[in-house]
Amino acid sequence: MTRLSGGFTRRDFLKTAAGALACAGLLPVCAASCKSGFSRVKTAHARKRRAVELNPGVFVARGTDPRALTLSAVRAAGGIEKLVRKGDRVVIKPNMSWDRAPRQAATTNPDVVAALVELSLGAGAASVLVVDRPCNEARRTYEHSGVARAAERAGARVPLPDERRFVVIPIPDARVLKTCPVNRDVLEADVFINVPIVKHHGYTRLTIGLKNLMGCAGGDRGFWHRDNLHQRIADIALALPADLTVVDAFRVLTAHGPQGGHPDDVREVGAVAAAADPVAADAFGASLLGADPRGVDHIRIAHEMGLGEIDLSALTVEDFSV
Amino acid sequence: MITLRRITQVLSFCFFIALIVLTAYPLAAARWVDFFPRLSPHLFAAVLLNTLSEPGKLLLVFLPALIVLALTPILGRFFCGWLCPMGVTLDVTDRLVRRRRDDSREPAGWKPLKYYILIVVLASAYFEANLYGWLDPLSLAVRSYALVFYPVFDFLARLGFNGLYPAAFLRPALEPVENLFRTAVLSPTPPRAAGIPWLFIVFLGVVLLAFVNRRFWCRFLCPLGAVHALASRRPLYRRVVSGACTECGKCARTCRMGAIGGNGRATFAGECIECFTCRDVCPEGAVSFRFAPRAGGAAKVSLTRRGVLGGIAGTALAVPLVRLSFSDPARGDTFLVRPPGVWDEERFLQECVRCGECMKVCPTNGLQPSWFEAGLEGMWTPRLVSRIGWCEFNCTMCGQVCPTHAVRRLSVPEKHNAVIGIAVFDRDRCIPWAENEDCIVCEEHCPVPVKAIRLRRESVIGDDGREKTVLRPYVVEKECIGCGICENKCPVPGQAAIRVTTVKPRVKEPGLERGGGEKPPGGGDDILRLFPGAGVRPWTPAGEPAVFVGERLYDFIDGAAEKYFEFGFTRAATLEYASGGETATVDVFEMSAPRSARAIFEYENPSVLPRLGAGDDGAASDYQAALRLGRFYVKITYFGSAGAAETLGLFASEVEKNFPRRER
Repeated sequence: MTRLSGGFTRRDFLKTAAGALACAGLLPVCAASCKSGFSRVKTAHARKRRAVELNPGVFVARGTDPRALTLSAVRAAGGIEKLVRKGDRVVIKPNMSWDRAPRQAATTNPDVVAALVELSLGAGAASVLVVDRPCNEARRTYEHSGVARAAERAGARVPLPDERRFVVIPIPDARVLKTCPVNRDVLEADVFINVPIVKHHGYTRLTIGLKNLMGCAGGDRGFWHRDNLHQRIADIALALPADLTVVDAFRVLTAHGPQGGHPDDVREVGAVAAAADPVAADAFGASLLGADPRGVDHIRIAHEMGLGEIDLSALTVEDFSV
Repeated sequence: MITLRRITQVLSFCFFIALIVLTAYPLAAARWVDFFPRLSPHLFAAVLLNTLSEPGKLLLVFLPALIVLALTPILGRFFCGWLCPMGVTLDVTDRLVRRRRDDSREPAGWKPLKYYILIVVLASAYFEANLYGWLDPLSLAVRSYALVFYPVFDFLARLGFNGLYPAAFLRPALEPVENLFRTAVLSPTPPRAAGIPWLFIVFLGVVLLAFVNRRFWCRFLCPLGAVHALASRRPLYRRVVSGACTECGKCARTCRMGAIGGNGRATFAGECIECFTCRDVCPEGAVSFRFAPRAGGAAKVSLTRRGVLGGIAGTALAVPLVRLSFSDPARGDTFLVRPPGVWDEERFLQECVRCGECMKVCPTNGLQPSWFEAGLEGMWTPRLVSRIGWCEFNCTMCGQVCPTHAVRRLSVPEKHNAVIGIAVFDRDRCIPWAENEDCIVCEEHCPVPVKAIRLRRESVIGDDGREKTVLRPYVVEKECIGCGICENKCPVPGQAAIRVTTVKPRVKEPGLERGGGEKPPGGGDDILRLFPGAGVRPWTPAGEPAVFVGERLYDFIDGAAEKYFEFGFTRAATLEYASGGETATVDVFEMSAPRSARAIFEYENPSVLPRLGAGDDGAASDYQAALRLGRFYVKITYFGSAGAAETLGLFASEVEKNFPRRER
């Protein structure tokens, strides 16, 4: 074979050219497939609440065992079987946003979450997912809050937050938050249970169920604080209505919230409340901190937007000891 | 034997990679992850020469290195050929870079270069210049794999998973794999490091030296290799050549270390890394490896006078060059923040071996290799870049993985009080300060239980000319530990409007006394008896007095409380009086000593104010009377329509009656 001056044969040339062409052809394919991983679902829309017949009102169980309190509160609210049907995908949203221990009352009590997992699976749920999007580093918060471990032991899956699971949805009836990236698992859940803890909050005064829904939102939430946070909270509550709100008031954080950390700021209340009405749940939680729910803007706005009843005297509040 | 060596190399390398992957939360192998840097007797000698202290601690740290070193006079320089992860790397890359060439041809007289380098490194170490961190091959290996290849791998793996993610039919099969990867292999936050390409170029430079010779680094440059070479100049287990040798020179041409001289008969002392290649390639089967204490055939690698003088000159140049680069932490980079557990910058620069373990383990990726922020000396030492990642409040992992304890091991409570920096607001860009809009993100995220960032409501005139209130954040200096989560989470685009700036690292003073707010602990209710009773009729108390103990003072006089703490504050009580629709207020502050009370009195009542003939000190203005009674400082405020002076005087004398001079 005749060698060209550079020692580069025709065969070499053909091989290289073929290789280069193949690479050039594959590149856009690879690039496209890589990019599409971040693409958004276009057909998503706000979550539809399941029409259920839980008892109207707030059902408050008081005692010393968070698990027993949860079981009793849910039972009093009508029982999980009214809500969860066989084969349902249940999504539970506790607050496990901070790298704090359960006794510091910055995150939902693990036993309360575990009890709800247990109830859901007992009622025939096909899967139970426990989700959040924490402020501190996720692996640590999930572990140290005790929630992930307790929920997994009870049979739930607790996946680390995954940005790809967030889809941008329009919220047509929202006043400010017209579109928002939200957790797709919540959106697609057959049953969505919100399990907040009752806490003081430096800005919104307190954080219970409605504020807890912020953990279902993706994107830059820091920005929310700049612009009408209270309205945005109400807007997200509109987009992601919970079928059941279970308020963990076993321990509540009375100051330096939402993160707390000092034992002086924790009060043992020993209560767990269940309510189908998310505004009523918050109104009850607010009363535990001695606050008028109407004085907390996002609760008031949610009420005004028709998300629920704010006036506890207009509701059945069944308060019992276990 | 070659197979055995290769298996050992692969195992050692896998162990090395596994340890790098395990250098992550939850740090299941905390005792093991710093193992490889601890295998370097070179680092041991250098750190010891530099610090000249704590030899016991260093002995313990470098015990693995010393065990290897103790075996070297017996087994020879086996570490380089069998265990070193950098050696494994080079064995692989050498094959890619350079194929079958005569490796006995090498730059003449370069073999002793590594000894001169070792001389420079150790002599510089004695004069407190840290070259060893940059040059140690184990530091180089950990740094390159942890800070370059791991992030690259992490990136590609995510890209792959994301690329396949839309393919729904693959998801059931892929999801468990991805979950396993995400929890056990990949980083919690996608790792980023300042200047990954530059670190790669350093690594690449070492690899590309193979264009000259295979194992060029090990042959001519490696200071750790030099230590092993010194220890194995006359090893008991060695290469032996029998009479069958025909001096064909094949072994010499094949030797990756250039360790064979005399046409195959001689072995250069300290150069053979016992790879056994020469034994396998010998056509006559004349080469064997065995215990042969007295066998001959050793060729010397001699140091030249010129080389040694060169080493001394190199030291004389290297030490000033490194140390003269400006690195005074007190006057250097404003944003140089060290990991928690670094108390003394100088000591830290001595002990840090630049391996990058701390940066690998940092769960938020906030620890980054510095370049020139700490001077040339500080290159590749860790620093916290809060905008990339903050220092997690409950995390102590950087101290747990540091091989030399340059980052001290802290317990979680110690960590909570380790002050590494201080947050400072940029009020020109901070939303509540610059735009008069509420924003509390920094306060919300501040992990200090009593909050180092606090909010106060201030009235401002808005754009429309109307008065409104805005919550404005401020930093309580004595509580801030500089963790940087505020800087990280600040929603202002670009650089944050709150940034962590450098401090001399210290342990925070014990927290101030905090109380429930109602009952003062101990000391009785002394403070309450100062409030006037029936003596001030028609004024009557409008409720119960409120007491603020220690820290709670912030709830009472948020903005001005710092001064009180500075002078020595114990507790405060306030009570409002009412009469005919008007109100007057009496505030009593109990200070830690009479002189503290005096100090706050002087501070708040400049001498231009008319003095009042009551109390130990007294002053009055149009609406306020202030008096000091022993350790108490009392303020009476009355914005009355008429007779302010009389009312204030009446209250003042009643207060004084309640605490007569003889009791003070």
